[in-house]
Amino acid sequence: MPTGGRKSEPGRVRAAIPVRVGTISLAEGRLVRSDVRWLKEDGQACRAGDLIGYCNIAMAAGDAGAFAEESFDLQVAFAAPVAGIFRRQADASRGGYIARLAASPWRDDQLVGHIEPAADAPRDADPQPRRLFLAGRRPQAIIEDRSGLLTGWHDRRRAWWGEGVDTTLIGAGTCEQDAILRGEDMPFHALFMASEAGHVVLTQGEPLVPSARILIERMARTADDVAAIRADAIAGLAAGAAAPTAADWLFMGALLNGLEHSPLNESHDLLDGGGLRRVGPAGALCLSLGAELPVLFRHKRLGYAINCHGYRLVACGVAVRQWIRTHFEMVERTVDAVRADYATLAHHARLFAVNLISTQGHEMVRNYAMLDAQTFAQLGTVRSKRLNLMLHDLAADDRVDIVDGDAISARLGMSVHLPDGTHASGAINAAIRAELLAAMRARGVFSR
Amino acid sequence: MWIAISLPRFAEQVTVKASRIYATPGQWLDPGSALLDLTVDMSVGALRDCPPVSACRIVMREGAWLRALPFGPGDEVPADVSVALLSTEADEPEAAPGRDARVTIATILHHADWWTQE
Repeated sequence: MPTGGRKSEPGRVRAAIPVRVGTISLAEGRLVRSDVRWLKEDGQACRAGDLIGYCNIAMAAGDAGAFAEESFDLQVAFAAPVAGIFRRQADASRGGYIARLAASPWRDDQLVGHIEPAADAPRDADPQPRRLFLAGRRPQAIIEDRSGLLTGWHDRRRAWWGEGVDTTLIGAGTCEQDAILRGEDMPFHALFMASEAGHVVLTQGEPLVPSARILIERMARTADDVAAIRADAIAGLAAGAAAPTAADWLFMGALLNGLEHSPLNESHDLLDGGGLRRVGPAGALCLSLGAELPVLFRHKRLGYAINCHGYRLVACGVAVRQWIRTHFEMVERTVDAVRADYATLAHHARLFAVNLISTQGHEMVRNYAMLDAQTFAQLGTVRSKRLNLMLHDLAADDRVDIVDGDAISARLGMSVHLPDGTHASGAINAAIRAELLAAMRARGVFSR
Repeated sequence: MWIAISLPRFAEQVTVKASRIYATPGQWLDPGSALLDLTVDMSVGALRDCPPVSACRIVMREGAWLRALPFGPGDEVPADVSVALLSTEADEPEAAPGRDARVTIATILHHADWWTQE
């Protein structure tokens, strides 16, 4: 227990603010937790909202149905209520596996530590620490990685403040969704530092890239469809000339996992101060226009599509490549097809879309009319511009809000902030995140 | 006059390779003729999860005779050499290039190419 506070004004001492794990309105014994793992050193300065430590948590016996898909990777992190100096509670963590495995009863008054408020910390600040809940769904239980906060391979990662949720937003697209929503420091922290309420679901079905077509097909897929896809894939892979390797089966398992889950149909368990509850399918969806790759592969007999980055297809094993070559046809993904799929998705959720970067620094085209038809049809920047314009058409009909990554990249400078033409700097990601949040608030999403 | 096609400065560390060739030495190239495609890999030689590889096509903006194209599909194209040498007359004796050729360098979609690689 700290001995007191720190002087903020001459002659006045502000009391240290206790940080407790806090109330979760569940019957005693229903929730268990690990000891605390630290995110701040003892005596380290922190800003209001900085995460200072976290626990793994789990529903005890009797609540086996809650968080069934995320039971191994459910965590809660504690945020500093005000800026100041963090003092750890000595008995809050014994370290080791005791700080990794949820095995102790949750007691609301357990201290995590104290904050000695900074001199300029608001005196009317809510002294209750906020709690950020995090959950990850492993594609397979054996993929265990308890090394940190929401670490490991998850096909779905979620986060929400424990003081209330107003809307669920799903992020589905390319790796830019991870950069924008999960951020680059503490998972989801940058996003949640700027939002009062909300529930973010980041879906990543590698090697399947969740384009609009993939999301729509997953929504409509029945249990019979799933069974047919599984049976065909297993038979097709095993019947090929090349014997599948372990890596091939892992690739196929991940692909099937992506095909079988439908993010837009899923409901979600939430824990917060009020206890346990379940929320229905998401009301908002953030898409990457970059997920609309120029071609996708459609199964010749079953009709379903797979959408994978080319570098994944090059890297996958011979048996998988043979299976795709034999059973799928390559289909061009036209702008009109993307438009139709976005319009369909707009019926199911409020759409936000990060547009495409539509220029390349080394491109020099002074006269498009000079190009032959084949070259013109292959121009990447023209396709990007046409897709961006398509978004404007949909926005004019109030079916999507555009997050203008194209303009942000141009404003910040691509040579510095997008040096390889593909991977953006933290500044670009932060600006896109801010523009997304502004667009969401304007629509009443995460607005409280 | 002999003229040369030089590569733009893509980045500090970049690997550029010829991927498709559309013309042969001795051939007249009209404005708008495609000369070759390049892959531009900015992975700086390291394996990457998401390799920043793009493709571009060099297209003539003026007519000229192709005199030398020393690269074939798969060949690396160094940054400091000419991709191709051309001349304004068919039988003009070899000479140092008097200027750069007028060309278009267009980024092209190459997703399907990944699939044809073995």
